[in-house]
Amino acid sequence: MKDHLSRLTERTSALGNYNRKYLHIITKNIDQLTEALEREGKFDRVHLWNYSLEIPGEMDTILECATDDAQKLDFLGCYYALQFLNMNLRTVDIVKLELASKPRDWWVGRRLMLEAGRMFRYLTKSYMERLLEIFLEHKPAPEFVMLGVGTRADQDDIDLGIVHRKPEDPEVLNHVIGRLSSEMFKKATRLHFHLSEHVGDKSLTATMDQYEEILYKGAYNFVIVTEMLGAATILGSNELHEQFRQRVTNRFYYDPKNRANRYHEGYLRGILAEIRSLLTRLKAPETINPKDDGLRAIKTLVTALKLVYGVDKVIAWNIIDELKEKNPERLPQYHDLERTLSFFELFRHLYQIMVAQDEDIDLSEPGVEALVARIALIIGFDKKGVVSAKDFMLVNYYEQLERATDAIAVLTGDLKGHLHSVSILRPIFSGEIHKKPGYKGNLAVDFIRASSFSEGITYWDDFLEQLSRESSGFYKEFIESCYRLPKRMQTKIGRVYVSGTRYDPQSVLRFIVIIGERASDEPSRKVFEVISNLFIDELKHLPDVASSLAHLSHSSPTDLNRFLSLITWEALTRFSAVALDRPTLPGLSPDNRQLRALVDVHHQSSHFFKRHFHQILNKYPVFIKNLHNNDRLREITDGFYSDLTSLPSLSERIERLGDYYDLEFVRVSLLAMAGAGCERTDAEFTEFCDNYTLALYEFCLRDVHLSLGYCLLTYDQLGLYATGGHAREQGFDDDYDLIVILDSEDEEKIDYCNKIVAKMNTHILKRGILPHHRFADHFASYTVSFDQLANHISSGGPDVFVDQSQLLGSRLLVGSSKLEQKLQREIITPCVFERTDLYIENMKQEMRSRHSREEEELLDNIKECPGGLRDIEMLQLMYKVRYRIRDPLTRRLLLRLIEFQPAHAEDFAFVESHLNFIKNLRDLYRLKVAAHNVINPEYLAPVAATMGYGDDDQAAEKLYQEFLKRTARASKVIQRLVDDISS
Amino acid sequence: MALRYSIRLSGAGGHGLIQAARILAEAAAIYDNKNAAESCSYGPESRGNASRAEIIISDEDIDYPRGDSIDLLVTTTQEAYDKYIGDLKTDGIIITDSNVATGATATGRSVYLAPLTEIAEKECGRASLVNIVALGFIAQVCTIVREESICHAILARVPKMAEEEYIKAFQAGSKAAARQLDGKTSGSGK
Repeated sequence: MKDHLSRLTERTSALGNYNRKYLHIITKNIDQLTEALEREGKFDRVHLWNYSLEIPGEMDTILECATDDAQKLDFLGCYYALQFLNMNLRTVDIVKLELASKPRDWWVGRRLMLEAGRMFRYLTKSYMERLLEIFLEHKPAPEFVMLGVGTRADQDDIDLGIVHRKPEDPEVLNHVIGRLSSEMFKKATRLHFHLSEHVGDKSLTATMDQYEEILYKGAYNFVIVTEMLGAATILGSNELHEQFRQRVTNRFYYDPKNRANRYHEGYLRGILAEIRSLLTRLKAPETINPKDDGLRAIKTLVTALKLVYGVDKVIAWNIIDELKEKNPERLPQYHDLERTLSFFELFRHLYQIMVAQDEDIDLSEPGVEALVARIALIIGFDKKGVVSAKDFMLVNYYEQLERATDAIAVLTGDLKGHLHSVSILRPIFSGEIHKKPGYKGNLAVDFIRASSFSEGITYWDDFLEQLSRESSGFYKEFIESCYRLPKRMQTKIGRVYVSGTRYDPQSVLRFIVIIGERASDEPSRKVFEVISNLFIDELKHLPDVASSLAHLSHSSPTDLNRFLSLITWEALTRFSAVALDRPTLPGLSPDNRQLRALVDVHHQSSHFFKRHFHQILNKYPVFIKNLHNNDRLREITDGFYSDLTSLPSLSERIERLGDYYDLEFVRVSLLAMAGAGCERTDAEFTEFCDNYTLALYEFCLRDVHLSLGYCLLTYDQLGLYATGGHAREQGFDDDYDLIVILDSEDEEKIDYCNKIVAKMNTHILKRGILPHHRFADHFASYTVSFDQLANHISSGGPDVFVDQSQLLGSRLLVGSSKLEQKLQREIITPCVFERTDLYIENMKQEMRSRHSREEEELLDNIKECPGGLRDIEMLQLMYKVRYRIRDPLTRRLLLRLIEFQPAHAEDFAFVESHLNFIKNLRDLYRLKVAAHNVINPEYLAPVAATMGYGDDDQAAEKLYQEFLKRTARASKVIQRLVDDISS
Repeated sequence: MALRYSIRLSGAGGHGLIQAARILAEAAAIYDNKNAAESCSYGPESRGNASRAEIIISDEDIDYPRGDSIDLLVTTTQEAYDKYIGDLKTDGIIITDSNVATGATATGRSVYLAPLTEIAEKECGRASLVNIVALGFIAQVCTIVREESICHAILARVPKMAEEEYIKAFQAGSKAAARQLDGKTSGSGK
């Protein structure tokens, strides 16, 4: 016998570790069993080492050889274990054989899985029947039926529902089934009595009256119903099962003769929400889970459809077969479901047999990848070129999933249509009830009453659709009915509306957002406030709020963003505390960086930033989903920019270009708020801003060309210059300083050019930035001719040095270097560089006059204070003139000046580092607090945290003192450098 | 007197508590030759991100796999703790992850605040091993099931090649419990 056992042990080593349990049982009992069989001369009547086709008979033979009940149980357990292992080894062999000749043929997969289910049910049924006989001690069994309510081939556990006839029977049944359960737990397969547990009363079985009672009370849920609808007799009274169907489960089928298909509707609502939540669930990056990824959604959908089309089958494949006949229009969708079902079930079954009885397949777990690769080979995925068998299979897995998801979308669409047409809530939605003359009810309350189907029902799309429909008047009536309620009642009713948060926060959030977005008067604003606060309270009670909200930010990014924009600052602070500050289990909760980024954006950003944020984000949910991943955001915006010219119309291109600007603004702002530093953010800001201006010019030129029907300009004659902050490559300004120079006196050309600039202005304004044309006031035209400009700059008027500075600080965005060289040669050199002393003197005087202003806030003004941004800019301009440098006014220029003034190397280095400091301070203040140049030390805390001053109470003050100290020192250094310019 | 010991593991979905319960029940039934029954939450309850599993270990037949009075409560979330603390016997044992605040409700019971997730993450390299760490802790605190049996049952549930990792996690939980038990013993000695 040892040889057989050794061989079985060796063969079983190819299976998962859980099979050790069966080897353990066999090893313990095999010697006594064989001895008994030999003693009774029945050894050759029993298959011990091969799968048997006569299991019940062989079990009876074994029982005949046992001397007492204890030995009967040991022998039966041993035989079960042997047949269990034989069955699994046989399954693997058959799959290998069948799929070797027809790789990846999922029709074969379907057949194999049906066979696996049949074999397992055959084995377990035979075993359970005999155990019951033993435990009943030959007494007659009370009338009962044991129903299998789960997947037949599942070996992890056997889901059961037990119904008994007489109310006085449960005691004996419980005892017998309890023993059966313990015995099976030890030696065979775990039993799970979810159905009867749900009915309660501390019993493993229940009468039909008890099942009916929980249905009447509404104390049931769609998961229970799905199990009941999938029930198949394992053993016991078929008659009782039939009666169970008639009295309990048939009510969930659609009955066209019945006006109120209440149970049917409640179940469909549960299923529709369940499918949605399954399809939008957040998947762990290294894990696949065939059950949650696809099987559960397919099976629940199929069960729901069987109720609509009156199918009485219980196995998913058989239901689909009948649905194909009854609903031939959706044949392609049923084929897709069937294919995915077969592939996923087969893969899952093999994984459970060969690796572990886990639903989650974590590919990062040691060895799992190799084991999955083995399964891939078995089911026909050979290595293809550079693609491994495992990768080939995983690609197929996701392709199948996608196909099934598409089919599910079509079929759930049909299901929704059916639900809406048969709903008992139709009179409420149509206004039939509340618009009736003399109606004295309350819509909000009536709706709750009419819609209380059962536990966990969360599909309310039809209700939400009514609520959001502008023309129906439903919203107004709903709000007024809520507002009319006494305060206590308002809270009570509000709680009911948000109670679905636990199961389907998406729908509850949608509901709140609709109320908030349409709120335009006191009642609607008040109702929104009450409901949104109750929603936040409800979140507090979720078992793992971090996970739930991480899922929500993944599945409903736009609604979550809208919700956060709509709530008050106080509510936002409460939400932030609930969502982010509660202890979570690190590493176990799904990645909530996306949620954190979104909440931070709302909670810790200025209106200046939010202006851009709100403008764009709801349009692009993918952007909200990636707020925490700036590299990914960059890829998205780069894609936007590259894709501009592929859009068919000019207006679409311009609109998309605007979106590109806004998205980039948000992206670079997030980078700044994350502490990336202004060196990087200024460079990236300048890059996207230049891209934007260049493309906008092209599109507007084209627009003018098309509208006038001709083109006048050449690049040689036009120069579009940035000046001010943008020319200094500085991000996050309020305005956009531009100079447009045309090397022509031709009025028609100037007019043409003005038309382009006017169009550009319109679009720039939409970005919330003010385009500012430096010479427009002076010349009454956006475009200035080269000669006009030369005359103006050389005129030597009292304030002309300001315009000279603008030119000196300008940076060419659009145009040719020819014009730029002419500007340098004919205007800047003769009018500015050759009048150095005068220019510097004017600048010094301006500086002195600004410093002498007795403004209270001057010292807190980052831009204008002594040692502030303006001083640094003027210092750079003076040195540019002094050394005739055309470089833009950037940090690089300050370092370059060291070459000209090595004696002041330390001073220039300090000014450069100081510029970094105040630029960072300014950017963060603008993005996190307010777009003001005067900083308020009271609001510096979020800025201080990002700048590395910590997040304690002292951080803001520390930063403020540092600012004062640095600007005071910078003021002295700049003064010294300015003084030395002349010497 | 007949033994009947009831254990409830509760927390959020994804913490592997149901798997831990099954392992514990299998260890008792298959390797310790006791009777064991296990039940767990399904339905919208589990969709709502809560998770609960219960094990009854007995040397007699178990007619019903759920009990009202619990001897040992293991919780990984505050909600689960608040919900089930009332079901714990007055002399029962509580093991909670360190993020759970027990307060006055725990009075009279033996309380173990165990950094289960931290141990799983830092000592075992994967937070998802928290359930196995918890089993190690349970094995020390409540000796109703033999350590060796739990190890057998763990190995029967894990993929080959991951065995070492799981046993290491079990031992890490076991050591953490031993440290707390030592502390309690020396504390009571003073």
